[in-house]
Amino acid sequence: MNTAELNDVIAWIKTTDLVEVSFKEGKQGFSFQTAPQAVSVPYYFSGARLSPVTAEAVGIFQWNDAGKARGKADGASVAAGDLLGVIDLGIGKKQAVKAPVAGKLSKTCVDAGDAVQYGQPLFFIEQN
Amino acid sequence: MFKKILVANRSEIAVRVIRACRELGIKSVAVYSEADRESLHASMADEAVCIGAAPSKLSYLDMDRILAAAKLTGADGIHPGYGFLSENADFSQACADNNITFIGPKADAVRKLGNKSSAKLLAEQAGVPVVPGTKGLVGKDFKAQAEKIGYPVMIKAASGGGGRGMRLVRDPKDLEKSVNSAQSEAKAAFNDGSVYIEKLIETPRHVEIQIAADKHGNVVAFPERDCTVQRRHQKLIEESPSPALTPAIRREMQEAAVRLATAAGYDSVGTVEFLFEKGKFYFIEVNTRLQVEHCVTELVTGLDLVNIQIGSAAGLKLPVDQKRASEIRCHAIEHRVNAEDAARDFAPCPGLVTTLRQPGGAGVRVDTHLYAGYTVPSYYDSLLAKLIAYADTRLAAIARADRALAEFEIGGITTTIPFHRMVLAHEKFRGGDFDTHFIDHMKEAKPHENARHDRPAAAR
Repeated sequence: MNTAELNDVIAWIKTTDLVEVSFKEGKQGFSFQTAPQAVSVPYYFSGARLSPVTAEAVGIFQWNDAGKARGKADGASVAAGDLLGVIDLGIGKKQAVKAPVAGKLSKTCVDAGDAVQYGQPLFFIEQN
Repeated sequence: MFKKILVANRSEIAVRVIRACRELGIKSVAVYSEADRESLHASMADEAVCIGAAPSKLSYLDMDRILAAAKLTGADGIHPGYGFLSENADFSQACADNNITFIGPKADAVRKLGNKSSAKLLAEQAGVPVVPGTKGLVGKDFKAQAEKIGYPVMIKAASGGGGRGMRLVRDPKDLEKSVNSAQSEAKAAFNDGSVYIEKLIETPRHVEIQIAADKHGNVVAFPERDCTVQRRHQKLIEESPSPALTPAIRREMQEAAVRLATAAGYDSVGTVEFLFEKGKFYFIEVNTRLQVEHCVTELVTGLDLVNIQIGSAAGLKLPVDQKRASEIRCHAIEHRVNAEDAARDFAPCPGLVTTLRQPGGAGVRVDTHLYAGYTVPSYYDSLLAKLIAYADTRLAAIARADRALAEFEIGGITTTIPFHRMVLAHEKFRGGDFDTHFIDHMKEAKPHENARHDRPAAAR
């Protein structure tokens, strides 16, 4: 296999949204993976190990189930799995927003009653 | 009429529906997956909601996410497009449960017609010709039954799929042996050895009738679409009228489609598909939705099917009668331009569209979601654009289609445009005398001589 030809493959992958390409012929082959996309973080967070908490559902954000107070305030330390909020899908279903990692709740980007869509950052957690 | 319609789809069909909404003064909501952030439908709609991750089952096939987006934006109707949730009776029901109108047939009609065997039964009851076969499973008198159906016949497993438990029998002396082996194969594969016998339609054309119905019991049938140019059951070129039909057969087919739709209580646009061979047609299935190739009928009749579909869902009466619906005003040919390499067995070729020049001029319509700088995602089907050419006669439409295909430039990715031009130039296609095996038999469809084997297909 002429490895120079692999440059063509790499150039092509960059034009697509593929994350992995494998090729095998007989005993020869190769596999490419694109580097994981870094979450773009505003400059004032740079240096901190920030993990975004994004909405995994579409609906109206609330701090907690009706009648219950907000569980974790800004700056509070959180454990992985802690409840940070609830998304009401508007069709009689709800989805919990949980901390994916442990750390400090360093930034809140959402308020009760906000409409949220999939992938929207709701919080940033500064990892321990 | 609707105030706001959520379009639960992507690509060219989402764009098509948004355009129809705009002409009706209805606000539109696009939903999109993470892979479709840059998609044209998301930027064209009045509002857009990201509903999930790239794989369809986490976005375009997830009923809760789509319904939540409809609730959030206050949409009072959902248009499902084609594919995805368009023929899902449960989704239609879930829309109704949430006080949102599903722009398609009622759930009951989808259930009746969506299942092939129940649709076939209903067709028989409505006097629509079906592929001749045993009424049920074969018993001891299978030899007499096969004789009555007429050879060649296919033996098919009742619980079958994937060709297992299937046998082709041309000679009556092979029948018993084939029935036995089909039964034992079916028993081994599906734990059900029951089989039935159907006549083999060897060289069929695929001809379908577009219908439209309202909630007041009116049904009309439009001129047929001929979708015989297929590759492995994927339609590539559709035209109307069919070069193979006589006016008498056309009328018979239209009447059969109306009878079936009436029997099912159908109340939206849909398509009744037939096989056509030697002057006879046989019902195969109903598509209870708008189809990719609906544009062909729009051009031939001069009508807007999406507009009619939305109106019907809103409770309006059909704006046309059967006489108007039957009018044939031109000949139209549609080419499905896909991101595929015909020389590499139609391997998908997603990627960045570097440049785009769309064809134009008299008698040309292009439905597409492409723009220069758009990256075709690898997660979904490879349809890039539908190019429809229309003219007074079939040959004039062919000349126009070829001219338009030559003008069509999609830079950066491999498309099926050259393949379409090859078909248009083919003597058999131009003569109009071909069947569904035409493409598989086209010797030119073999890989090009300069195809190299030391590089991955994806790199070309």
